[in-house]
Amino acid sequence: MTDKMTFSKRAEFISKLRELLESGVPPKKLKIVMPHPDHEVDEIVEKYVPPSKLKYFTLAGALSGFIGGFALTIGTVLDWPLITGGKPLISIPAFIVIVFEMTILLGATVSLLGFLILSRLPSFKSIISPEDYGNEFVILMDRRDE
Amino acid sequence: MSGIQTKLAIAFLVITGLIYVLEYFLPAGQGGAHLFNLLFWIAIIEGSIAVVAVGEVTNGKWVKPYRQELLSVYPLILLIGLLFVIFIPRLEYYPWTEQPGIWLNKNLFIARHVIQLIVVFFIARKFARESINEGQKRAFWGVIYLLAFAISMTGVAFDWLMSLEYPWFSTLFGALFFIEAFYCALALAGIFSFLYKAKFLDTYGESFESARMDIATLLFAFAIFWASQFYTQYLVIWYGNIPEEVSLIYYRTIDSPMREFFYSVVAFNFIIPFITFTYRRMKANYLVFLIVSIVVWVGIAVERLVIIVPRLSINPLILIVEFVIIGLMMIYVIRKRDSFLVKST
Repeated sequence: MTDKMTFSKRAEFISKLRELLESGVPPKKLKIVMPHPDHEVDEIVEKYVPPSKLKYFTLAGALSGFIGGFALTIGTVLDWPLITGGKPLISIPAFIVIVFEMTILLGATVSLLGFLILSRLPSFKSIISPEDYGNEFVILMDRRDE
Repeated sequence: MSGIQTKLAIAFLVITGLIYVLEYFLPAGQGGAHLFNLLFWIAIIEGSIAVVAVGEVTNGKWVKPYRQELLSVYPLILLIGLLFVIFIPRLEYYPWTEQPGIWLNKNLFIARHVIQLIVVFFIARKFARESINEGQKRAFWGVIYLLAFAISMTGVAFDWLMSLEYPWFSTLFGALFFIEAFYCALALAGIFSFLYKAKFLDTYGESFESARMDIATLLFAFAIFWASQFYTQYLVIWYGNIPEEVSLIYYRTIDSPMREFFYSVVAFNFIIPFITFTYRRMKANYLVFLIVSIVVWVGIAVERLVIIVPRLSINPLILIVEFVIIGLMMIYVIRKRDSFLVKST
């Protein structure tokens, strides 16, 4: 069973959302539909939900990139030794650039994947709402007991 | 001339006289202390106005609480101009004076820097007035100032500092220098956050908190940007391994304690701000923000010293006295900002 609360004014919607969360309604039971993204809603809701696990995806990706960068550069020069500019085969200053790029590349890519996984995307059912609320701000509250 | 303008003019002349006495009537060595103070303070002064200019051009809300305080330092460009004039006799210690070239010759050197400082001062003044009055043309003057700032800082980096190491040269050095100026100015905004916390919160409320977090994030970003510029400079020297190029690093890493100072620059300007500001809670803390800002200033100061010391001798006592004198003048100008930088009605 779902309760539907519709607001045409943003201020009323924000105030109701705040009131519901302050009264102890778990954020899991609320679904919010807005005509546009609103940072204030994020700020209100994030106080009642545990911190996102996205940072662990980023850290894992960045560390993999860091280690992978060294593995790639050192592995390739050892496999096909070519002395460049009279420098030692394993020249860390030159490898740092590749390591940095790999850290950023994998950190960002795994973050994107993490975001998709944590947001359960792509979910076409969530994108296309069965009901069109137009310019209304809507709070849908699940009344079922867990 | 209004009362405050007269007072500032007199104060600038007195300070110039005082520093002249310190430099030329006491054992000041080859003027390294004088050059250090010129390089350190010009970066903070011109950088502060550049931060506001970027805020105006990009329509950033983060600059609004800090605008008046950051802009108020613009009269000090004139003081730097006067201090540069009394530095002129020290040019004889620059290695290129023995064989002057087309660009590096004494007369052109003096002429271009005197003109540059005057032009930058007038553009900064025009922009400061436009910005404080929220004039229609503030974005336009912001762009003009940023161009003047980039040219001025690049010129200062190439001529005042890099030419000490002649014949070594690097086209990257100018970019590193004006990034450092911007970095120092963000740190100054961090210091203002701590000093004027009550006033800012009172005037801007929640939006100040948001602006402060933005400035802290920018400082974090500039720590990475600085590291990339510094590393790029190092990498090309390391790769090329040409005797003229390696001199910059070789003479600064061969002996202790110069070597430790050289490496500490990376810790002050990159490792400490980067690790500290990785944590959101640290960015939100006023005291931590103040400490990191001071660490950045220390890093920039040590970097300047490390480059100057092997070429020009420094009297540490004179360096500190000059530093304190210019610093006190800066505090005075900022405190008197309401007398010369207010919205015209």
